Amino acid sequence: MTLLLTGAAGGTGRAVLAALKRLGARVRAMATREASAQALREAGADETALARFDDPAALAAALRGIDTVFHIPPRMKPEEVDNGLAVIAAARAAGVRRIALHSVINSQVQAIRFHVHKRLVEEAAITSGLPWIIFQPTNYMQNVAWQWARLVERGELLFPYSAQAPISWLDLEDYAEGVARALVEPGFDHGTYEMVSAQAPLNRQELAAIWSRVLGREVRATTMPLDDYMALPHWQGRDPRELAILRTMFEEFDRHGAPGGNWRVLALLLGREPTAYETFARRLAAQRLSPP
Amino acid sequence: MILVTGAAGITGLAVLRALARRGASARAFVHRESARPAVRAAGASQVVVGDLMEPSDRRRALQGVERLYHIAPRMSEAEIPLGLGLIEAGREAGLGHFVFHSLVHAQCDAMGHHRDKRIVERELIESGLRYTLMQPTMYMQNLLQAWDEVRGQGVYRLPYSEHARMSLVDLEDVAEAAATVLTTPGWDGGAFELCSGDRLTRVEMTAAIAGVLGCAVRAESFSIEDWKPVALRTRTPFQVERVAAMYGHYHRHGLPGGNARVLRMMLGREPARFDAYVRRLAAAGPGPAGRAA
Repeated sequence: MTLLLTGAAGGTGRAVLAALKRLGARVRAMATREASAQALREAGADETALARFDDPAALAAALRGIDTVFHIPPRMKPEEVDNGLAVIAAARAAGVRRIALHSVINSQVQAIRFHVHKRLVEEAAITSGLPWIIFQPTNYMQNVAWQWARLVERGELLFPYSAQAPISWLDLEDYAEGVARALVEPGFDHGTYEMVSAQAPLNRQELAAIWSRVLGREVRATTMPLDDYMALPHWQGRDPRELAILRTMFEEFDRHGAPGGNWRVLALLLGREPTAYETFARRLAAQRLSPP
Repeated sequence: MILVTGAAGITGLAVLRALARRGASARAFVHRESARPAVRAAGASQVVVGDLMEPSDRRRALQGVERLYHIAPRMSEAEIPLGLGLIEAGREAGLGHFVFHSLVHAQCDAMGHHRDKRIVERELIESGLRYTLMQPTMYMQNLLQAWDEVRGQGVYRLPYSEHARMSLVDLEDVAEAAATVLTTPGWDGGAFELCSGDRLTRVEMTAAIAGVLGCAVRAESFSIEDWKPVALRTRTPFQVERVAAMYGHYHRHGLPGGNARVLRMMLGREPARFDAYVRRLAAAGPGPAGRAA
């Protein structure tokens, strides 16, 4: 029984690959470039397949002999619906037993453009005639990591939405382990699982208080206008269409936050309590601040 | 105080009974004075009669209420305005917890009532209120509507394929889960799919029924076009179109979603299976007395 991971080369894909390998699963990882495939083999993938979502022949070859495909769509792509429908159609044609989706928490919330996309792909999976599992992750706690220098050096927790907006949080490590268990163990088919670690939503002021304790220095929650934020060097070189999709998420967070999901479902998948935000923060700090 | 809307319906009465078993005080909101005895008998300590479309009635109903369990009328044209009106009233009243009785697979746009419930879910998610979404699949109790024919003529007929695979849940388990969410902390923000784990075609259901009744029962389907004129005698054209779209979806795709894991967690025990439900129904005997099963 082999699992195919699409979008395997991203942060989610690599974490899920590692978690699946810890459970002894056989994994074929799909990538678009040989360099990524090489890295995935080094990270433990038993096999790799080179394929683009818009290349039906390559997609069919990637799905041959696969039991379950876990589709991780590349983030913020305007083609996300087409890509998802292509994977589902190719999976049916290839005789794949089951489809699993990396979707998103509260795909009902249609003000966020990629929620529209993911909800349509969810509907396609549900009506595909094959068993499915839909995972709906909320925001990763790890999203803070690319701003680590600003956090540690300037004591700033910077995002382009209200510091009072309540957000639910997910530890990527919990997510990967929960996904891997649901994919490997029986009895999870046909379910839609909201994936949340923290036991209550936390706004950025609350996060700043946690980081102040963890780092032993004052950390402030700061807010930057969205236009300025999207002009940061981090986003340079990205496809403007993708950034336009990302903006819809920050705009929604500013209006309403993203407090959805309940930790009990992830606890059920993990067989333990998920990770608290402060526990995650201490783990990240220990990794980043430990002497080389 | 817990307010239950749609309290006189089959779901509302079951939720009221489950709350009463826990000793929780519930206020029933009903549309008609004539529903008062039924909700009283189900354990409601207070009854409010009114129209949820009326802002003043909503305010009156929510006064002093900490938690709300909102059950909209089935296939109602007013699903969205009712939901939005209650969300608004809940915000004004400082409601502590809004629990919305939704359904499994609100993602599926082909069914208008699923789409409407998804829109209310979205408004609730964005409302700033503490909320929980309850997403039951098809009730085992739907068998009640056909029970006389099943027993009397040995046939279970519906206007969609007898081979469509349907995920089922016992309404009593849904009501227990609702009572858990309304009386214990820690369920905020969740969307919970409520299913028994039984995913049966009507052919498989009739085999289970035949096993319990000890006589032959067969599964049949008939054309939706033959169903519509009969349905129009008791339902509005809007409702008939909505139900027809639902049956069309069932015919093409079934409703196979969910599994027992989440409901088992909420109940702390195994959810009831279909054969156990049928035994309960058969034991309740024929006629109106059996309707309580």
